[in-house]
Amino acid sequence: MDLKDKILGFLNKAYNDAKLYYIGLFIKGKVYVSKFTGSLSKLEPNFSKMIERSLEINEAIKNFNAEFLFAENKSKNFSIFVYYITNDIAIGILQTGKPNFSLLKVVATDLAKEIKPFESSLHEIYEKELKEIDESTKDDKYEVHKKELKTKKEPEKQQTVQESFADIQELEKALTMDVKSENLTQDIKVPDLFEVLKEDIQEKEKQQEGIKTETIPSLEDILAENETFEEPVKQESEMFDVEKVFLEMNTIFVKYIGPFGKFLFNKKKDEFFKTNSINKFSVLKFSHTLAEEIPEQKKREAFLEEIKESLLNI
Amino acid sequence: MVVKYYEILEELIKDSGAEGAVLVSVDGLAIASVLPSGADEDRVAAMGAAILSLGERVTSELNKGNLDQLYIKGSTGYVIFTGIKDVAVLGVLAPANVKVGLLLMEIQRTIKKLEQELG
Repeated sequence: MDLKDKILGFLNKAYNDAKLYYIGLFIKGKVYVSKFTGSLSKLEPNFSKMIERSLEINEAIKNFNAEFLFAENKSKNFSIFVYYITNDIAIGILQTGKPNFSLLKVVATDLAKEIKPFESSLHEIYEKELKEIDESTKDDKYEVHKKELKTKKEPEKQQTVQESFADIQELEKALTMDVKSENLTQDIKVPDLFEVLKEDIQEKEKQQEGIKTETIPSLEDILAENETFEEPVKQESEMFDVEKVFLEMNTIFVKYIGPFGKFLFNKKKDEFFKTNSINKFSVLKFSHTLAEEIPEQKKREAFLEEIKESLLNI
Repeated sequence: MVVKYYEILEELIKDSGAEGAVLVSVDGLAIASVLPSGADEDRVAAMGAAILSLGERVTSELNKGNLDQLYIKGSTGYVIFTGIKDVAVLGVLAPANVKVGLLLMEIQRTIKKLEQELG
């Protein structure tokens, strides 16, 4: 009887005794042998990936030495149990029905005792069988990349290298640059955007008033006007490309607050424009709301200055 | 707002006897963390988000809804990952002698606070 059959025998026993849905033995996250009910289209690959990632806990936390993993669903009718025999060999169990952590632990502990003596053989099997599969897929990918690279023409290659070099230089410059001090020392007078926008809107209002006093609209006109009531607002928002403005603001905000800024920006945006319609004024007010999230006064000022400049350019 | 998350995590640690906590976005980036020196913030964050998401996939494959909580026991303690709606994951590190019942209760309280903050 070879090792695979022997281990399958152990798994079968546990599977029948505890009425499990799935049980498998995993070496470095790769399934070696398993026993289950029903079909497993994506279940086993996902479960093995989950086990593979969970093994990283021993590297992420010093001296952690993972013993087991347990999870259950919200309806309490399904549970996942992983028992780590060693740092890279694990028993994975899925159970449907009311979760019974103690039972799963007893079953896995007994099974681990039976499998533990074959630890070195299992490592050999991984090196011979499972690792080969893993590496052959990696090699294929590598070959594809190599072929793609060969088909590229030489001048194109040089151009790409030059572009990348320029990008790296630009990135280095951006990273080493003191954004705060540079922005603060620049003595550029930016016109007050509030004033510019205010004048713009006042002018529009005057024009509209003028039209109204010239002719008395008929009832049909009034009704037609009501139907197209939303139009002026839409036109205004279309005039200054809302998406572009938000994208620009988001980029600047992330620059000041870090990667979390993206998430915060969307949250603040949803909150703010729940109660405010989108126009130039509200967008500017929104930038001040965003600025409140930046802890340092100097950075906050620099952020607002940059937003003003970019809005004027759009 | 980020300061608020730190405050919530610190309060959880103080009230439950945990060693550390990390709030992770679903894409595996740490939003806020208060972790002990032996823990690698980036790896804990990425791993937590990944295994919870893969666990969710396994659960949904069997039409069993969503995972409630996932915990890993090690020789030196526990790591507990809990999903916060579909927007974040809370990871808590606790020593082996922690009172697990109290810890789980405090985690639930913290989840409610974070749900309010995350909207």
